[in-house]
Amino acid sequence: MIVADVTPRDLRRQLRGPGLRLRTGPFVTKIRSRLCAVADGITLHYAAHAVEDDGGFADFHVSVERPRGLRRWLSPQVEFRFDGNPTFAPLPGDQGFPMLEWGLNWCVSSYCHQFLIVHAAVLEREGRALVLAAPSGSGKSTLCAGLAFRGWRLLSDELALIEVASGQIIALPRPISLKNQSIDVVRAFASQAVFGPVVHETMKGSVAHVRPPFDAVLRAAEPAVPGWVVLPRFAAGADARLEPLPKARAFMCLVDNAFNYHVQGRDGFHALARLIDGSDCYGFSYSRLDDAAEIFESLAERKSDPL
Amino acid sequence: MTGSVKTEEDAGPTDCWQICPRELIDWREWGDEFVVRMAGRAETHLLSAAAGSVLLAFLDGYTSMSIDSLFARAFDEAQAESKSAMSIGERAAMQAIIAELERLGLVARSTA
Amino acid sequence: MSLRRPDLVIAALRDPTQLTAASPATWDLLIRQSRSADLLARIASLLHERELLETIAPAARTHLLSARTLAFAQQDEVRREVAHIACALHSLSVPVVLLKGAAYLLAGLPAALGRTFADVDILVPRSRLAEVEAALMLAGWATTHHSQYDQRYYRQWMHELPPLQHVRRQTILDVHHAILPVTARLKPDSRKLLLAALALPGEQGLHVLAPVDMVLHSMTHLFHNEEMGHGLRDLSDLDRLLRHFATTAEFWNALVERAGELNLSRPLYYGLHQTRSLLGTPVEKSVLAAACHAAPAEPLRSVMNWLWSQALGSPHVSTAGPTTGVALFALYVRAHWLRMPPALLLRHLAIKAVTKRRPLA
Repeated sequence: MIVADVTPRDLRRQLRGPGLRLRTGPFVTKIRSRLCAVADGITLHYAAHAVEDDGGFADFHVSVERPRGLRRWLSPQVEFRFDGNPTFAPLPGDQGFPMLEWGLNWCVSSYCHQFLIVHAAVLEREGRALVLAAPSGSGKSTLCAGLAFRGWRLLSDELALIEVASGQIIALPRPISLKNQSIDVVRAFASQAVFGPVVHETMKGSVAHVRPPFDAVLRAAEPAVPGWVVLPRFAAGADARLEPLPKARAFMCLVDNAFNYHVQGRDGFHALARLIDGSDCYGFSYSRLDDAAEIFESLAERKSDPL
Repeated sequence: MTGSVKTEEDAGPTDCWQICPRELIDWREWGDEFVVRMAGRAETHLLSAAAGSVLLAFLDGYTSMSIDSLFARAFDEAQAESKSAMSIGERAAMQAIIAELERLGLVARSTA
Repeated sequence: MSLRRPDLVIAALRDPTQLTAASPATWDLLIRQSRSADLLARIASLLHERELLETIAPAARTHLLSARTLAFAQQDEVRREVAHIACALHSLSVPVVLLKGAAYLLAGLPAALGRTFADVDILVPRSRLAEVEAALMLAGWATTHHSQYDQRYYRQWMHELPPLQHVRRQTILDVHHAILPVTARLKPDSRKLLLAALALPGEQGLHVLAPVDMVLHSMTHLFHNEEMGHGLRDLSDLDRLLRHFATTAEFWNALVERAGELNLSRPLYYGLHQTRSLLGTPVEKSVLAAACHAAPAEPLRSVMNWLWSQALGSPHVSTAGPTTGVALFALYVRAHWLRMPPALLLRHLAIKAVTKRRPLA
């Protein structure tokens, strides 16, 4: 059963009561929330995601609610709780769905040390992973969203999950988070993209989420092997340029962008080294998604036809 | 121009260095750059081609070495067993590299 | 109100082998309860020790392994921190005694198995405290708790400096000069502890408490603590210390005698009673009887034992009953009562209540 098969009434009942057990990639999360924004967000963005039966095992138990106290009546806030404990400071009232998404990312980066987790977007073509590694504000999510609607399968917009033992990259297809101008850029570029409501005045400005393509969700069990590591940078007015990047520098960039490199110790070093070994490494600057899509298309063709 | 070739017996106190004892080092080389991780400090660093070659000379050598031996081993394989004379510029570069490796905690002066 | 669920963590600590038959729903609850108690890595390590990890369902096993990975990384960090501390204090030639988790780890004790770490605790002679603090600050540690009141609270009344944080590594170091506050009713003599401390082989200037003292310190810390969030974890540490050290009559006799010498017979009584009752630690009946001499008279004895049984389970919402909150509060008040004389206590609680309301700077 997927979320789209659950009636809106039943969805609300589960969220307000025992919890909705939602599968995302390798994880099952039990989500509870009395907030309409959360129910609506799940209905829209997780339509194709599986709902698990009650009574079994869930990797995470989370809730998004109004914090306890008098303030809930005066100026409403939303709070993310992990197994009943708040993990972040509360946010203003209408940010329930972004709060859920940030919280779900936090769960993975805090507790899933079976993976080396890099702050990166990941897409796949013919079984090979394109890892877009960069800090926030670099245009990574915009590029990820663009490519996800131009022939690349989305694995994740935020968390590259590298299985330490095997070196495979595991898919966690979830809504793509976009900020400010990116929202309009992607809307214009990909008419088939389905957006949730724009939430204003968050810490990051205006935020909206794009539903992951159904194909990406259906194929979530397919991992990818290393293909490319690209460090993107949005530069207004710039022509799209792909420049080979020395592998040692690409490696150091992944170290800087990994959430749990230090937890992994020597295994982390070797896992990243194997990822770099198997990847072509580039720096990429762009300002227009059309140009970017073309460049990555030729990159993919080159890989499948080395001559 | 006169100059004497310094022999082992002639040389004044010769500084020697070695890999820091009890330090476990993992490294990788791509093209002409190196990345190195030190388990003891849990630090990871990028090294230039020259610094990486000197580090490898340390790792290969497994004993404490003088600057001359390191230079020969790192950059002049054919004469690894003898000591090549370094130019002033090369000696300064080697000293800077060793100082950097020492600062990072990879190598230390040996008391031998 | 939710149904109160059994404490699966205690059951797992008592008998890890029964986990091979646990259902997915049981694992779901056990992982949540043991995470709240900071014992997930310990349970994982107990299963690993018995070569049972492969028999556990993959979904649960993933979390067990992940917790172990994190614990190993924290253990490596503690070793590095201890090396930095030894280096910073080397020139002072002052005896530095590692306490609690760092001690278990560096001494290679079973109590370090699957243990997680938040900070390092050390004990130094009170007469050398100023020098130690100066040397640590020179090496990059800085004080926390900057308010004048907090500084005085720690330095004048407590048994430790305000926690130090390293400016670069962000790690926390607690420097103690005693195992109980200066103002506390019980006053175990720190000089005796330092005199009996054992040097760690190969570690310059570092020591750990003698086994009987390590056990007594574990009990004293646990049964004087105001917060019970790590209560079960500390009880599990104590259980593992006793199973390792207390294998001879000599040890038991020495433990009881030392407790008397240090004025710690009451915590000894609670420690033996609670580990035996909750975790099944093998304690000789004769030893328990000897320790009972220091137990409070009835009905206080029964009340206290009941309070501990309520407070020492995993601090998870599923194990909380209608009386858990009351028990925790009573023990919180008791801990403060034991720390300070009444006038000082009232003043302290009043100041804390006022400063809590002010927004953080």
